[in-house]
Amino acid sequence: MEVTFWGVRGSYPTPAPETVRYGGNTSCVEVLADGGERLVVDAGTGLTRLGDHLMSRGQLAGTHHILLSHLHWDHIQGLPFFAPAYDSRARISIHAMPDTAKPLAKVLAGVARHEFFPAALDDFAAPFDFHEVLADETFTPQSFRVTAFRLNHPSGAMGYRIDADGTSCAYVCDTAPFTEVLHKKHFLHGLEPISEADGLELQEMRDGVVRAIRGCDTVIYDTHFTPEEYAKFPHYGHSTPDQALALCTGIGIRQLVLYHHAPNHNDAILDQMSGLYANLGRQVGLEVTTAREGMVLRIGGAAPARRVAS
Amino acid sequence: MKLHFWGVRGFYPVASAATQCYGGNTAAIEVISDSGSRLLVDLGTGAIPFGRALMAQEFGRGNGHLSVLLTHTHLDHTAGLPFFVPAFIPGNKIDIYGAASQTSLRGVLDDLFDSHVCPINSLDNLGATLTISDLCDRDIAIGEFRVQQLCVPHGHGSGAAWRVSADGRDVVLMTGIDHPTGTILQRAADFARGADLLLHDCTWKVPNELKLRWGGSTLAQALEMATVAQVKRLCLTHHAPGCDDEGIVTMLAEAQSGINIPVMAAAEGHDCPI
Ligand SMILES: [Zn+2]
Ligand SMILES: [Zn+2]
Ligand SMILES: [Zn+2]
Repeated sequence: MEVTFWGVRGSYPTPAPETVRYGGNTSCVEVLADGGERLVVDAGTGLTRLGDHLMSRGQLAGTHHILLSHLHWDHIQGLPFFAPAYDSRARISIHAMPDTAKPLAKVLAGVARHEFFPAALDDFAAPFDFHEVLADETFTPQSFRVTAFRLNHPSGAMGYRIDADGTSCAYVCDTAPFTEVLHKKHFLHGLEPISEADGLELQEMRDGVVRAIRGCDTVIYDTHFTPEEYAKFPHYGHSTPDQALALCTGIGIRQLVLYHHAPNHNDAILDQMSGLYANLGRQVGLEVTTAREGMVLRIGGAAPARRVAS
Repeated sequence: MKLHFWGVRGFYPVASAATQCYGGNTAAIEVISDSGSRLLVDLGTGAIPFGRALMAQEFGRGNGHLSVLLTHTHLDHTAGLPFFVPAFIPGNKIDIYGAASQTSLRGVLDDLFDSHVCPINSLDNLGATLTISDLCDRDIAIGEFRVQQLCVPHGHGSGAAWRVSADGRDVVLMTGIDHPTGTILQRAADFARGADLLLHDCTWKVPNELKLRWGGSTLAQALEMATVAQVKRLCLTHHAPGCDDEGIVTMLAEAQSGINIPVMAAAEGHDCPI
């Protein structure tokens, strides 16, 4: 199994010279099984690059499975520009957590509509189908085995563990740590006191994450903030590399990937963080890698990261 | 009067080493009068760095006032709003003017903040005071700017072309206009007539050859508009995501050989005197 990072940025794309090396496109990861089957996680602007890549290799046809962590703009904005969607030989299967009020198809149709995009969902040549994913449920797109688990993020988010080829990786994004705030479906001005029930729910959520990702070869984690930034914005729904390290230590994980970089984290800052956390990781027996756009990681093996052939 | 280009990309932002000269942020263009008053046209991702720059001024202290003209509500013209920092500062005033469409402009902009897609949940959670007005073919005065609007067809709805006058100069911004019959819209040409500068979108090259589905104008239509409207200068903008720096240079050369009005291509981070 191999993972390619097509977009590593959080919140919004940053097309600037200061972010050219780590990349400015928003969340999108491609998981490729050894047999060539593909799973896409998240559909930020990085998805447009993957679409162009598939087009250049003549791989538009067939079913494209896309898992969405949640529907925040930085995780869906590339969807209406994904090249396979314009090809009638293709089919797009979207997997995402359900909404409490509306079916997923309706929710996405309400987002990908003409007021916001030149092409709305029902304009596409490729048919779309929608699959609602429940926490702790396992499903099997192609030969992948995917287990979903809940994350702590405004309006909720789903993490995924993906098993194939006798190895596994997990996608834990977007999430806040499981301590100071329980994110629900409301706007947070700042931290709110958490009730005893909230505290229990957080503990349960954390246990669920640990249960799901235990023993994973590689974990891709939302490490949007530095500790100083987190102290200012603990209610934004994102974590720090320190919090990711703490959660991933001692549960049989080989590699932690820092991901969903804050827009203000330019190449120089990310170089620093990359060095710092690689060292901290070594001290607890974790290999820490900072995600870069175009990076290809071999999962389950110790082969060095390489860059995607463009 | 001059323009400053904060974002000149169309459809979606492009973060790539191959687009660093012309830039990858989506539509946001600042209009600045000689005395320093300003307007912003469109709120694509280019508006995000613009918003940060404003924070060094009165907007950082919560007594800024900005008027924004929207050509339409596609994300490449609005996606910067949820990340536009001055909008979060109580005391700031932001007036947004757009084109009337089937649904109210306020409703559409509010949906940008919907809890599914954005943790802010609603426009009402922004600290600044926002006023949002649908105009249709009306003229207004914003400070020392005279602003005229023309409703034009775009995509499945309508968009607005804007004519902004100050300091005895006129600039016309048409960045989201379809010419459905193939020949340019006569009333749009009338609207742009004699302008010192015409900004026109131009989808010279789109990745995946999908352009017909995405709306917008061709290079030939932009050139025809400039010629028929007898503008003094043409600036091409809303560059297609598949058009890298080299591609824009090639497009510009093609444009310059096709018309005897001066033509330029908008580049992020640059000024354009009018
Ligand atoms: Zn995100
Ligand atoms: Zn999010
Ligand atoms: Zn546009």
